[in-house]
Amino acid sequence: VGSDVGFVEFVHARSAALLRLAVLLTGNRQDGEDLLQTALVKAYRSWWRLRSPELAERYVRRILVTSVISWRRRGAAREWATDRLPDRQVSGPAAAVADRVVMRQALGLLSPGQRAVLVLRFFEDLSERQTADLLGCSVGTVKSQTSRGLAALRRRVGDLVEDEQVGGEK
Amino acid sequence: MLEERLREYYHSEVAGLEATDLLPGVLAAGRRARRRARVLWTGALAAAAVALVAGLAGLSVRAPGPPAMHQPSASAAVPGVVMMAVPAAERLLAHDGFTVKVAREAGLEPLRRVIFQHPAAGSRVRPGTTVTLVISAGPVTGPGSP
Repeated sequence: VGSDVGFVEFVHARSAALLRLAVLLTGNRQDGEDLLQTALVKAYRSWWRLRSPELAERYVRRILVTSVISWRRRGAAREWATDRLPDRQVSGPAAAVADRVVMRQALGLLSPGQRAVLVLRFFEDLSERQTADLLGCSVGTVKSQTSRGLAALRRRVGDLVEDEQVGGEK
Repeated sequence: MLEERLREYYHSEVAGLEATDLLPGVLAAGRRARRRARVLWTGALAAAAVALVAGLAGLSVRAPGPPAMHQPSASAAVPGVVMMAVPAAERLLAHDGFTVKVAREAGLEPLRRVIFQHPAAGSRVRPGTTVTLVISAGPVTGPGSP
């Protein structure tokens, strides 16, 4: 169908970036792919009114964040898979590997909303305003979720930071 | 400080992440869904057309003689409620003595109207039969607050 051309182009151009976002939102590759696939199917079905790549991008990103939040709300059906093996072999200095494992576990203990806000603010580098728009909540909520998320992370990752500083290694 | 570490962590987690080609799966699933939606709509339109024709025929037949509507009958005709707003559809069906069940179909337009009904409009069924209304739940809705 002719109208599929735009959609196919959109997926080719944007799926790598969208997959990165989805993987960080879910915490692992498999769930990230599932999440993105679901979102893309919805975008495909609504393509007749999305048309432009900008609208489509916004629509898909919104589905990614809102559905990852509602997945988690719905209960333990899907869990933050910290115990799963990473998809790629983690390499590098032992300290860096340990750092990542600790960070991943610490993120796993946050609420889904806090995780989503942190990903949007510090991976996507969205402003507080943009994050609020995407999530459909107030700037105040973004601020409080961000600071609560960071505080919780600091409590758990803090030890590691101190170890590193003592060891003088990085 | 922590913000920086978080940035680094995020980037190292997805560095070199190779994209999977999701397109074939997406297109296949999307086309299946489109077909389903088309069948629903076609069914709904056909049902509406049948109801209209049946209604007109009923009028013209009934016109000459006294109406025979108030005989206690073992069957009742299901009114057509497709495209009606949900409360109105529920009221109409309840008034005619039907039980109403509402099912939502996600991913369609945010019409909040009946997009399909079963049994179809004009079907003769036992009074009190449950009529299932499929209503559009709209596209993905906002999360409230994260």
